[in-house]
Amino acid sequence: MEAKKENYFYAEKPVGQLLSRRDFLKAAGVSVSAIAISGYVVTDIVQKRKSYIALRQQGLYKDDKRLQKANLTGSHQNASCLKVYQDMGTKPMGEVAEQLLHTKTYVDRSNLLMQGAHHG
Amino acid sequence: MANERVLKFPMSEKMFHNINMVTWMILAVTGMMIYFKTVDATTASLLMDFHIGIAIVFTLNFIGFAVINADRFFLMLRNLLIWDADTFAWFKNFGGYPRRLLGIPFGPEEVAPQGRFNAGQKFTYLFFIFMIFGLIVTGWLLYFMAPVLGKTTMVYFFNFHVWGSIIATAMAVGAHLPLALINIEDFKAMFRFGAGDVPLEDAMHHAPKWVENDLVKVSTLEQPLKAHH
Repeated sequence: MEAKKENYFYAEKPVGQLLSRRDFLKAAGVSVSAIAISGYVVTDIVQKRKSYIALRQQGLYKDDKRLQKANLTGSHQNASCLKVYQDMGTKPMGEVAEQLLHTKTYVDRSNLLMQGAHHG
Repeated sequence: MANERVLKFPMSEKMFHNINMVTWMILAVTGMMIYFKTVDATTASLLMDFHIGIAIVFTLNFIGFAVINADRFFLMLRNLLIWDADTFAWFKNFGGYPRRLLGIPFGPEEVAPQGRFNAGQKFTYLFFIFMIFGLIVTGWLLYFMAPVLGKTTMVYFFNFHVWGSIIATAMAVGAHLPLALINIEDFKAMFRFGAGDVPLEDAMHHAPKWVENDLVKVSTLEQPLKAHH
């Protein structure tokens, strides 16, 4: 490729002449480190999070099995809960239960939303 | 010598720098408008779409420069990573800028000879490159991988993205731009159409080691300049 006539007399030497082997290794080392470290950090976070999810899943299945054995697969089967309803003289979804347990206060929790994330 | 000139910014570097500058500023302004809630939710959503669109150009510009012009990218890194005794000596008087600009007699009068970049530029540009890379990585992770990475990590990345970009923008506007205007020959070389050349005298004043070690005479007026390959 022929360059047009330019109005300068000096330019940098060709890169091959300026960049020694040591320079190349230094620059390549920094570039590769930046990519490798950020890649490692991200995959490490994803893997850890995946392992937490798997552990939580295992725990839930374990709980399910234990409760199935005790015939307690739903809250309406829980003897303690049923006793509370009996003591109050009401039943699940009953009028007293609704008065006591259902809140009518709206709490604005928009401050807990993660700002900036775009969820489309 | 009065008319002798040095090619300082080849076209590839000018293109990278100027696209980077324009897209950076658009991203900074849209990002800050959204973060500081200066607009209503609908406009913020529209601005976020715009932010993402410009981020694509910003990302491709950086990757394109680093890959297509890998030789110039590596040379730039090489120049930024040379930290010799003269580089450290620059910090004794901050290149004489406090004395020259503010009249503060800080450190010795004589400035240690610098290469293509002075120590302040090396520090600043390494930070800028780190931030460009970091903002690209955290930005796209925030956009695509928020549910996979979890809330704690995302909040951490989000703060890095917001405050890192604000600090870098403040440095670019508060230090990089004014100093470029003071070194007006560099500014003109970067923004004029055509070759990014500066007077040899100017290069010898600011970057004597670069002139001495890295430059070669090209007889552009007599014979065509061979593009370096």
